[in-house]
Amino acid sequence: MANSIVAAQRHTPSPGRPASGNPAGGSTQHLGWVPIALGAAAVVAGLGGRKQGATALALAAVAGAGAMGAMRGMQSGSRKQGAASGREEVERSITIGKSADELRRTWLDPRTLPQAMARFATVRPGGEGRMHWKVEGPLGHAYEWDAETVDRPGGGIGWRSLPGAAIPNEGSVRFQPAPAGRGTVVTLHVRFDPPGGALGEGLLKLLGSTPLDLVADAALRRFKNLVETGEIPTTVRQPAARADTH
Amino acid sequence: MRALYWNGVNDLRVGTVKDPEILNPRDAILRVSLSTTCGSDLHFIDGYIPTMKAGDVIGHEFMGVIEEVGSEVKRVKKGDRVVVPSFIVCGQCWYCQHSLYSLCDNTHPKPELQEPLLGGQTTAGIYGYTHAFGGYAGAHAEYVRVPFADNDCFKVPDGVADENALFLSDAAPTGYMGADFCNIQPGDTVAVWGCGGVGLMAQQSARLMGAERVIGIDRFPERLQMAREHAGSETIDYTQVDSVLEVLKEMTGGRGPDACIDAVGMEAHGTGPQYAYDLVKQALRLETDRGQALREAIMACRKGGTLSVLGVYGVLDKFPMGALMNKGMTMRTAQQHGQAYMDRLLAHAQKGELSPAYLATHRFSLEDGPRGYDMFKHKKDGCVRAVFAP
Repeated sequence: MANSIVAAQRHTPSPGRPASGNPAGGSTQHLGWVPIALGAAAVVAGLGGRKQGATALALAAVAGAGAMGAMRGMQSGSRKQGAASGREEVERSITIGKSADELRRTWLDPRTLPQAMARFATVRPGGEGRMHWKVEGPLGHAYEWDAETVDRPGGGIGWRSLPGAAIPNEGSVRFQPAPAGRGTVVTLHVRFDPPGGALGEGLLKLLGSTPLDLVADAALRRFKNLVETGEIPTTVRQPAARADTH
Repeated sequence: MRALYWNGVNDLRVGTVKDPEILNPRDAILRVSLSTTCGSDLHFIDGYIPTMKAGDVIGHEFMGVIEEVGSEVKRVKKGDRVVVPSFIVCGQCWYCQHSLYSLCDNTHPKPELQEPLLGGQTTAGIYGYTHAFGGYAGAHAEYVRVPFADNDCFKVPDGVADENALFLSDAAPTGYMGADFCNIQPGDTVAVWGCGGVGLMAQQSARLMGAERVIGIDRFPERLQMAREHAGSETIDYTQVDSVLEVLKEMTGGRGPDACIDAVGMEAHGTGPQYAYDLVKQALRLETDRGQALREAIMACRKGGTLSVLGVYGVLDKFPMGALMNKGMTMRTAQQHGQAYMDRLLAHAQKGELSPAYLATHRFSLEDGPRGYDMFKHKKDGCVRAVFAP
């Protein structure tokens, strides 16, 4: 779970390692910009100085006996890292109770990606099937690129950054029927190919410590929320006796 | 508005917070009429369940009147008097369509906090019950936001008082589901560990579903009295007998109860060395749960019987898997699928077959919330449930 874009180059996640302590350790070094990681970090950090084992056990209390097994890669998907290049690649799947046709239409609707990616990036339509991506970094840095949409075999949808992007990247989503009318399995694939050397290292730092698999999970989950219910669950701006209310 | 919030372990406070607002088109805002304490709140108040943040408004069992609805709310409207199950459900995902409501796929805003604990999966969100369960603001407040109002607000029929409707939010559906899990057949004996709100509701539900005998187990005389009076249960005070197992075996002609319901959970009290073992390990955070009630329920149950677990658990030591397996038992468990039972529960309430208002032994203004929880936690003055009226 600690496979952040930056940290993954120095840290190989061990499959049996409890994840509950680790996102905190990784993301608190880049406080304040990726809410996905931050939510976990703030809460885990809020446990206040307990040893990591105790924290993991305490977190397990919330959910029970599956806790340890849960951290051993039972989620649907995989993550690869190019040994030499620092390439980051992730593939995740989710089952959604809608037809492939409806999902494909919704994915291509220019209003969808901005909502699905809202916790990670600002995405806006750029005309001619292009999308403009912007990721806010620490200290006011931002990383932006344009991507074009490309068709993929079998009805999938692909996109890739246009030439000149500082960190070339590409992604795709494909739709396969789930068994017995259970809807459609949606698989998201994302790859970042940073250039070598100090430049690539620096640019990756701009992207921060975003755990790419968390980004993919969140995007798929939010897409599912949107197509199944018409909205994405939220707790922002709700009542709480503190400044940050969600 | 005023609200009761968690400020730290064993530190509840009342303060002024901003009013809730419609955030999504299927939301409603409810003016809370009544809300109540739940034993499961004590787990995070006592610090056994993490992912609370100082300032979180708590409370997940409540009823009230709809004040405002979002643009996509069709079925309920302003002015409706409604009860709301504690789990927030979308009504449209695969789980909702299979009546597994507390497993709804679409109401958890913070799945990354819970997925590592549940094999990469999530439950539905709950009001006022930790960020691992969604981080929604709770209902011990003047107002609460109810997402997916058409699926989660149930109109209370005229003739069902607020005090009765209140407990259809959580205690009654949880107990009812626990009895439903037991697949009760004519002649069956059902034993229920715990005579708090959920345990008493489970006992009454078992009766409604045709159990021949119901046996309630607890240590508080006033709760055992309620079990006898309201559920027609026989009772066992476990502090007054050498062995609950032997008593149950004798009471059931040597067979053991056909079904055993655990309505206690991770902070069980007991007697003897096993209880001492759990107390020490829990205090040292070497295990999160004291599980004596659950272990006893497994050991007591007849061969081929059903174990129905309603108590909330984390990680438990010394789970007697061998007894469960070799006795060929069926274990069923869930957080409450309240939406699946609400029509039946409201019908029972309307016919006077289920009147849980007697659980409300103590009533407080919201301002006295911390005192209410203190009385409830320490079971002072025979407190079964503290009820708050904003």
